[in-house]
Amino acid sequence: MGSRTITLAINGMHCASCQAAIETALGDLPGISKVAVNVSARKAQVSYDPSRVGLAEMARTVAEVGYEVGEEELTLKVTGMTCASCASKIETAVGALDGIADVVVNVPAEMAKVRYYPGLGNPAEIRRAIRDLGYQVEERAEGQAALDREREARRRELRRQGFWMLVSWPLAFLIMAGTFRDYWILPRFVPEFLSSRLVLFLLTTPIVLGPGWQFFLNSFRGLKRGVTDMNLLYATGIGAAYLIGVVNTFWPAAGFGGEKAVFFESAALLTAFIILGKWLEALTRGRTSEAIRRLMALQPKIARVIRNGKEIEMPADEVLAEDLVLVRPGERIPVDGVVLEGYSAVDESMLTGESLPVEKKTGDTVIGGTMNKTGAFRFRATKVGKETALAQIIRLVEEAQASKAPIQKLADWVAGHFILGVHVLALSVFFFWFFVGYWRFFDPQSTFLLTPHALGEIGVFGFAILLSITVLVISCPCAVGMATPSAMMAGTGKGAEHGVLFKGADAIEATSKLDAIIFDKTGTLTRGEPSVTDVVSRLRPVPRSGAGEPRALRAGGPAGPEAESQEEVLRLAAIAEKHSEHPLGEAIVRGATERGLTVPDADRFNAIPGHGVEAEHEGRALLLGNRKLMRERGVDLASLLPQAETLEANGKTAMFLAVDGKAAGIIAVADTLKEHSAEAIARLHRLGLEVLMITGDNRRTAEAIAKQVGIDRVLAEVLPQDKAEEVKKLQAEGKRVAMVGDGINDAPALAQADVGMAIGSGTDIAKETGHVILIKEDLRDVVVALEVAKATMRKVKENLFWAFSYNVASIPIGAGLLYPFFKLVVSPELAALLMALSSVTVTLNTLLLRRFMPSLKREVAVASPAAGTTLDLAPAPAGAHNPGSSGRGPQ
Amino acid sequence: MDTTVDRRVTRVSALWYTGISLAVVALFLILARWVGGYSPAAIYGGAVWSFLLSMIVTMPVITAYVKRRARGEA
Repeated sequence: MGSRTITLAINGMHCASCQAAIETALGDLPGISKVAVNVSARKAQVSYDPSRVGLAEMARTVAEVGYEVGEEELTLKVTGMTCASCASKIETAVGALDGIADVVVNVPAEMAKVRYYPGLGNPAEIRRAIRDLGYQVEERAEGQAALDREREARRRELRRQGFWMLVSWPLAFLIMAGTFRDYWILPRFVPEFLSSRLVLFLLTTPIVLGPGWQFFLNSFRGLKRGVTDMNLLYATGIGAAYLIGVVNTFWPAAGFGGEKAVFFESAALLTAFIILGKWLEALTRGRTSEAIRRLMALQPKIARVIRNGKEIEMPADEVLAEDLVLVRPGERIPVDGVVLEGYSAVDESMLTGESLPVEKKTGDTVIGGTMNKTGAFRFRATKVGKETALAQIIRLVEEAQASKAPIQKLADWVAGHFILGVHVLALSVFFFWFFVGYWRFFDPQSTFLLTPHALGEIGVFGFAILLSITVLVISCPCAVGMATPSAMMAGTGKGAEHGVLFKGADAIEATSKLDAIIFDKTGTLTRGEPSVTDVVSRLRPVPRSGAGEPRALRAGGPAGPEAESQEEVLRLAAIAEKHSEHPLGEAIVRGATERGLTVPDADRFNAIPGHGVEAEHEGRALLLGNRKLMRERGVDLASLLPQAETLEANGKTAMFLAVDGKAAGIIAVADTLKEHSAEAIARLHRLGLEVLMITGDNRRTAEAIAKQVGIDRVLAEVLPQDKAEEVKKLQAEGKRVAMVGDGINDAPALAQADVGMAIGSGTDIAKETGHVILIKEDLRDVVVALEVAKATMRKVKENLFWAFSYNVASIPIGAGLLYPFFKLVVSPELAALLMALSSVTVTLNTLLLRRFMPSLKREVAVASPAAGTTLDLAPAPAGAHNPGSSGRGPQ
Repeated sequence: MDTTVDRRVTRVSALWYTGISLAVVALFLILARWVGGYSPAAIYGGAVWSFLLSMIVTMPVITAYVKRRARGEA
């Protein structure tokens, strides 16, 4: 075997040691005779024996020593594919080219994604190889242009097959009428000349050479490159039926069954049914990718931009970052940006799944493609073109739709080997019926299933070839091949519709199999910033309201003297903290202003690091801080301690306020739960999942919040870098684990989990790690993701079941398994009808997924979030916990 | 792969798959003679159909195999 020399582009090299590492690693591989690495050129020249080592192995070895063989990706739109065998045909042909790392072809998405090694693989060659197989290929276009082209290509296919249907069906009916003229009431209506074999020949020939020609042409192109596909099955079936008809028409004594076995109706109806199947497929195939088309259709065409003080209309894709854009009510927002002026409500449901319009005011971000409802506003464009959230979502969904799920491997293997297998079977069936079956079982009175046509003088050859052709025609790898990708396309689209982006088909499959879900606490279950949750007052109640035992009030509780005295505590605390830069101080000031309290400046302010603050206001000495500070200043806290301990037991940070040296109250501050956290956890429990929380907080705080939110198991005091390790431990217990967290900070844990879910990415989708991206900051979308994934996988399994069942049942029947018992055979035309129906059934079953609605949306009344303790004052509905990082907590 | 290699692949693989298909036809003819009772037309038709199906089965398999080997040698 000869040696070959190639040049690989290597990324990540810095110095001579990198060079040595790569040379050693590659040199150790069997079959490599010479390696020369050039650090400056970042290239490695390798001489190797291709029979002993392949490019993929070299790339893997380079990756193992920490570098990367440079790859480029080419995404092509391929039209003209009809089923999985087309995908397999293209994958084989392109995979056989030099320098190809990977080829993935998705038939429903009409997409081919090719990774190749630059310098070795050649995009022009890749395109040519696909064109040579008889498909149309073009660079995958973005956005609206892709939408238009895709629609046009589908229309062209529909028009083409529609035209061939108009040709084939009327002729096929005439041929049927002529063939069966002697039966039933037909002699009264069908003229005699129509049953003439010559007329039937003249009627069948245009069908075979017109609509049927595409199958002969495509099979020839495939065979030339050593690949087979469904076209070959069609061509063999149609060609054989037609040729036997021709022979028996012009040379009836040749011994192929004679005048009674012309089979013209088989050739004609076979073609007509296959064309019908292709037309139906073109009609339904587009519907499975409707979600992506709907997303593409959201891209506005026109933007109203203010340049040089003038308002001008321009194409949305010409808007530049930093442009000032004006949006009026009822208009679609053209690009992403930040509102500078104006107020409105924006319908973001198409991107986030959020059903209620979102209020937008100065400083808020707006997403391109969403609909402005009520007011006009101006905004500064921040992301344009391919950088907008919508463009990123479209790209992500497209990539997910082009990927393959592990469950597809079996279907791919079957579809890939199906055609050859069926031909082998057809040959075996022919041999069996020619040498054994005909002699033992044939009955001249037997008929085709569902027709009165007796097989009569068909003869041994005619009978054996008939069953052989039926096997070729009845088998349908299309249904097997389409079962998984069509459902995955619909599933990823359905997820996107509800603000859940699956990064690949494997993510859907993994999500559907989860046993446990770990939630990161800060920023995921909680808001990630402290806020005031409770106020306890020991100040004397306002005289008009009478006396009473001081106690804490919850937000929105009854107004009264106690509430007013607590407001006073909060106001005084806020005055003391007004100039503080500490997060807890900021939370107190924010808490006071949110409740409408006026917070004047203190006359004097002094921060006591690690303890609190002291201030003076209108002659009153204010002291706010932890126990230690109060002890040092001799403040007696005895009356407040029981309530402080209760608050701390609930994971809150209690800060004491003293006025003029006397204990005046407690302000409790905590990181509050997000609005829907508890509801999401409850729903996950209902789905039978184990729910865990992971946090760096101490166990008491962590357990307090876990209790409020309803979580079963807490992984507390885990450092950020150890979170991935905790995920690994759970996986070691045999559980399939999802991690829900911040896509950036929790990246290692998200990557380690079977499914990493990054939540609340908003418009920064491209930055997110993880397998599933939840656009909104709504934890209930985790449930939506699970439900969509489960529904999709259910559909995949149903499709595979139907597809395999069809083939398992139909092929033996087509091969004549029932003939010895019932004397019935399936005619090739009935076989063609069944075959067409099987793939259409799979597609229609997938389309049922369009009706899927997550349980959340189905339920009219949304369960209210879990209530906190009676002490809760926070605007957030659920509980709270200790931020933990403060040096001002209880000491 | 250059055209010389392509031509060689085409030639070598054609030789192999045609040979195998002819072997299947030979098997068919032997069986037909052994079983007996067939008209010449049935025998010729059967031989042609067996040859056609054998070619369809062997052509892609053999071509891909020979191409893989040729890529290794190129």
